[in-house]
Amino acid sequence: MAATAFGIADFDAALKEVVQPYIQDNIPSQTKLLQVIKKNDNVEFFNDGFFAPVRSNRHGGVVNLANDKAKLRTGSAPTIRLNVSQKILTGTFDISDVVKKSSANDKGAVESAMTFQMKTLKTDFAKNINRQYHSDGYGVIAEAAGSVGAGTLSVVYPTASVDDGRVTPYYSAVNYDIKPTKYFAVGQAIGIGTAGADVGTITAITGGTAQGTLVVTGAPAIVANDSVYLVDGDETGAGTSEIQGIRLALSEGTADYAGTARTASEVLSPQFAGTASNAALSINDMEIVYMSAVEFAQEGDRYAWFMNKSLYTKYGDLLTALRRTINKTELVSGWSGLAFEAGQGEVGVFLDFDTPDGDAVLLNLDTWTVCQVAEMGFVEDSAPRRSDYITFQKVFSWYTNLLCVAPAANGRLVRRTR
Amino acid sequence: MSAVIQPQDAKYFVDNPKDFNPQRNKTIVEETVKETTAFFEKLEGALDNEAMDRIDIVGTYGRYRFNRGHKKFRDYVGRELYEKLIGEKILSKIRTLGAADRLAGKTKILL
Repeated sequence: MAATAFGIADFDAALKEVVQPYIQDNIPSQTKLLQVIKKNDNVEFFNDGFFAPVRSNRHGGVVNLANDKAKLRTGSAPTIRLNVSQKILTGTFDISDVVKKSSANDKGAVESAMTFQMKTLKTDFAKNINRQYHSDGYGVIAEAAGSVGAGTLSVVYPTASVDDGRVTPYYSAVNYDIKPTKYFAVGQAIGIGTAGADVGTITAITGGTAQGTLVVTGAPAIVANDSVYLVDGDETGAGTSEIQGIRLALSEGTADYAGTARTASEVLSPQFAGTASNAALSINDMEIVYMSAVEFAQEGDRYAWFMNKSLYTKYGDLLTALRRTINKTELVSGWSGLAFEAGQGEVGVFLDFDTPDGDAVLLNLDTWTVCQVAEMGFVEDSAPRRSDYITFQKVFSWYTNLLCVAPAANGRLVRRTR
Repeated sequence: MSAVIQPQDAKYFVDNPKDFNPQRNKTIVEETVKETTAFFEKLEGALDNEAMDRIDIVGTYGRYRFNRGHKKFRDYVGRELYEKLIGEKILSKIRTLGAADRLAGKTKILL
């Protein structure tokens, strides 16, 4: 017989005191881009939004006088206010009362279950963040190629025909660097079609390079070109719940960014090239994008290119074909890349397996900030048995978003091939 | 020139490169791919030992507390280990803050 009915409050306290600080420190170091982007830099948080003032244009009061009797020009440097809402990232793990009590016979079930759950929660939470940092926030993970039978859908990397009209344009798989099923896992709930109206829980995944298959519970309606999203426990949140990342800020579209029309200031329009057709990666294009972005940068800003595996190796091949000596550079300890020289000094080119297929992304790391309400952590609770269940649940959460205060100082090359 | 090169990149071609070694280039690219892959695998699969140890300690305590006894965590692990577990983190934060202050030129001693 168990010595006590509930020890969860004490366990909870121990978890928060001993493990949480390490998770808080480890997730940022495990999430690649979090390591190089500042947090809450010049951002204010009010209610459910993050706000950042941005200078939008040159000072209107600066003028040369025609002569000493000419009238001065009144004016000021205009500013605009960018704002993004908080996104609620969560991860849970449940320990059932049965498993908990079974440890009384020295089988160690609770210890192993809890240890396993805590460890996997931590690593998967980090991976999920990195995917979202590269996304446009609309949460389209794949596109349905069609139904293969009741409850089974074939999926592909999103194409220009994907049915969510809000997304930053997709151009199909270019180099097949991201498998269509890469970001799916058994147990996830997915929304299919407009606003994720049809829902199923994944029970099996078969991953191919160009096309994968998801088997889901129930028999949701599946039509070719349906967007496929991850949804929450209420089967909601398709298209609105994800971090608004790089693809949104550096979108080739003209939709508003951070609550502001891109036309409000040229600083909101990123540098990009290559939307018309697929084309091989070229140093000339990289240089043009880089030089255009630098014009909007401030002294000392840090730059880095990010590419997926095909373009990264292509870049190396290109330098060798041009008979140029390749030099190694490092973004952070352990993350090494190739040096890119273009007029304004050396910039690193780095391999990131979450970079969208066919994209070469130029980031001015000092124009990005991670917005957060508070440090990520376990939700306060003292007796977290799930109502109506015999399981005890721990919830890890982070209320956050990503904001770029000067998309124009960044750039993207799209549809680049090997 | 190789077919890899796009016409617009021809201007970057070096005619008589000094110390150019294609094999060295290849090695560097492979090395960075290897290092980055290892870096990402570490991110995805591993935790630092200290966090692993802490998770193990708390997991073991959970097993005890749910089924075996009533002791608070501090009493279960003992004062010495408890203070080590909690204190190390605080000290590390203080050291980090101190280093950040020094880098920012804030060297005034308040206490």
